[in-house]
Amino acid sequence: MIRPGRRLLLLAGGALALTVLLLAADVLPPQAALALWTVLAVLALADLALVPGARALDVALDAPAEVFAGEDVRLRVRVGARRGPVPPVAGARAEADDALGGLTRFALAPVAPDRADGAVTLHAGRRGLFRVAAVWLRWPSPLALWEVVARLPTDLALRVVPNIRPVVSGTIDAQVRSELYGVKDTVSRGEGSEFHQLVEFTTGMDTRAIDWKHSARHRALVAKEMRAERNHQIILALDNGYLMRGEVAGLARIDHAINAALAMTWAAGLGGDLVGLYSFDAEPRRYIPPQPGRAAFPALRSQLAEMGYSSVESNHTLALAHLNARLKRRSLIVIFSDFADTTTAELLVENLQVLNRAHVIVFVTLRDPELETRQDAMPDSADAVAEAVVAADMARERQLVLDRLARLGILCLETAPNTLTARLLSTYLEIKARELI
Amino acid sequence: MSAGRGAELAAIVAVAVVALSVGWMVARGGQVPVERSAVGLRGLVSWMRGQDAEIRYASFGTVAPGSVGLRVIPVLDTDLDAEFSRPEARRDWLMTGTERDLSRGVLIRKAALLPSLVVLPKWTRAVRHTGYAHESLLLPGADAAAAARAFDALPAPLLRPGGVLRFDAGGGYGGLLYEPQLFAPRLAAGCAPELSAGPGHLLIRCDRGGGPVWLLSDPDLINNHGLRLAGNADAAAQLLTRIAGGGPILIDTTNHIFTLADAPAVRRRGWADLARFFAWPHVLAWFGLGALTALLLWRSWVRFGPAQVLYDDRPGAARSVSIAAKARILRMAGNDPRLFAAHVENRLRRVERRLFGQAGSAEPAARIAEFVARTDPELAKGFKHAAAAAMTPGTGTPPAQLLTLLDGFEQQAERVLNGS
Repeated sequence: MIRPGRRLLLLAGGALALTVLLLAADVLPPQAALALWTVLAVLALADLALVPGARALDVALDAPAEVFAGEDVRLRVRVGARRGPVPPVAGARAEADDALGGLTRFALAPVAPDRADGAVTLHAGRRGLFRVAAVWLRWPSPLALWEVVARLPTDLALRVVPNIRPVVSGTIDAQVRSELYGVKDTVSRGEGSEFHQLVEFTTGMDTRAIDWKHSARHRALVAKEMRAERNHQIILALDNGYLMRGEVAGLARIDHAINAALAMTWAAGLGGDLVGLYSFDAEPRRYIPPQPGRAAFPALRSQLAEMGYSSVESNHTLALAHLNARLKRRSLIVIFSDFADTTTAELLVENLQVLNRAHVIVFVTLRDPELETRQDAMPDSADAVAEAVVAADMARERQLVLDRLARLGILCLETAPNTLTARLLSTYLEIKARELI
Repeated sequence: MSAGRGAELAAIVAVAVVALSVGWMVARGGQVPVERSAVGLRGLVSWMRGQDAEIRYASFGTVAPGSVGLRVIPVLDTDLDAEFSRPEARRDWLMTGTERDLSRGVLIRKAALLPSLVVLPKWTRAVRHTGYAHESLLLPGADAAAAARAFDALPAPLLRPGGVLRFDAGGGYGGLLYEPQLFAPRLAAGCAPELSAGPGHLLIRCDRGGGPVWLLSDPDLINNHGLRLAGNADAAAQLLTRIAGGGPILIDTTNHIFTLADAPAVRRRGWADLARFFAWPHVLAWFGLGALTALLLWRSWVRFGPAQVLYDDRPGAARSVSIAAKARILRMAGNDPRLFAAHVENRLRRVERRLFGQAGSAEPAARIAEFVARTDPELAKGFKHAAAAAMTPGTGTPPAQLLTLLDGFEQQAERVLNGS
């Protein structure tokens, strides 16, 4: 579409001022004003005839197949002219869904007379399938009296998936392998409850370890050497209630939780453990039984990528009771959840207490940086002081709940989003090292 | 539509109706309901308008001399020197004749500025309320003559011959008067009879240096009662038209003058004045303005991209809103000193946590001061003093002073944490 340019508006405004001046001052005949408008109209019409239209252009976008949630994606934009040169583009915008940042500006530079390239950076703020519907271009006419605004449809779909950057970058492999090697060989042998091998009994060994039947058969004292179990069950329980939709550091809490859960799955695969998934909100949702970590990872990844955002309040009683009934073996349960205050956390604490009798519980929640910022900010008004007091009260209430959980023997992990994955893996490795499961 | 919304709409309509009614009554210049009663002149106005005479009620607005041929002042006040005070007994009240107050000064000034016909009162309020005219409801003669006395036109009392009096207004028109009220034959100097009937005069004219003043002794000649029951309409119309000299007639029932002695003639604007704005060559400026407006609208119509959402109502905003709401409730409690003290206490805990790893002591200020005193006793002393001052500001300390105290504490805390 074509619209008047700023220059034409300025000229028209100037012509109007001159017209009023001419009529008021009466220094020239009124026909001078008429001539002024006629010249402006002729110039505008001539310029309009020379401006290239939007039909001569096409646009192409290069995009990756998948984008990790919370990361930026850079799309390459190529604009080509079907005939003639590409007009000098004065402005370019990508029309993306709100989850990708909405309308985003970018720059185009000519690389050839009939081609201009550029790149637009979009931020993937949510999981899901989102569209970059069109590219908007704007270029002026030769005299800059008009502007052509063109909407070039692209219909590009971007799939935003959970962020597994720590997995694909090898960070987790490096951390877990280095931790497990050196711990497994020295700690697990002889200290676990799983039979490893028969060894010759030597002085200093516990006599209770002697296997009398095999000793009789071999006619020499042999003892059982035990080791720590390797195929522990790990259940990743994700609370998908409305509290987990709240954004922290530009991403929903549930997305941070999903990213950490997938990193944990990968780490558990390296540690030889079985990983299962359980999600809930007002009622139990997905349950994937524990399976070897390497095999579980793709399954969990696809399941978690499809998990939507819920707007209902979580029912911890129903969800944790359901999980307790499903688990027949002592497991490590990592619960990603959140609570608003001590009152609403009451049921959560009670149910975790029940679950903690048979399993090892790690309760993971994200610290809200806003509460910290408000408490430490220098207030410039009485209202800001009041807000800081409220923020401190809310932080104190959270701490009360976490302290109560800690007293029950539940491992609590309240951390900032950027350190969530690292601290969760450290906790997992510590649990393995201490053989809590 | 919900019940609440319906009630709200009904309330708005009711207020609008009341406002319109009040405005309408004010705009009509107090002619309701007296003017529609037996003693009013509403019928005369309608009648004369039906005969294409120019007659109107006075309302808010300036009347220039020369723009009105005759001002008719129907006096319904029996004491021009005092405001009417309502008697306690209803009977006494009904027997009073003051329907609307009129000041002596205003009456004389009105008569001086425009040719005026002063109509004397005759009946008590009971006539208007009952709808019946009876000799027992006549005003005392002295009360009825109050307006005439204002012009010193009455050396003798009004005549009340009683019965029915037929009069001839000239031009072949005549009428009847029930219980007539007449000026005595002897008139004051400068006054002359204009219309006589029976033993006295119905209408006299007085010239006292200013404009002429006509005095009508019996209002039944022109009021609704006389027009309807006595058939005085033609006589009244003919009489007024003659006095007004064919000019516009103004019925003035107000206690305001509305007249400027030397007001310039108001020129009425017409379509021709407006058309001059669009005549050549002014039309060029209008064309230019139109063209510029069209270009501006055109440019604003073609957007460079879709409209953007200014406020994204995301769940993440809930916590901020919750904090702001709770903070507002705390502020509304009106105990700012206690609020600031709580904040300083929280800040002390956080400083303690940053210094020692975890908070634990009952008196964080003392613990911090003790720790700092090992390296900088002056700083420790200043910190303790600033903390104490910020935590115990005293009741009623204004927020500005509290902020100053808090600022002093924060400066000390900053030095404790990061060194001076």
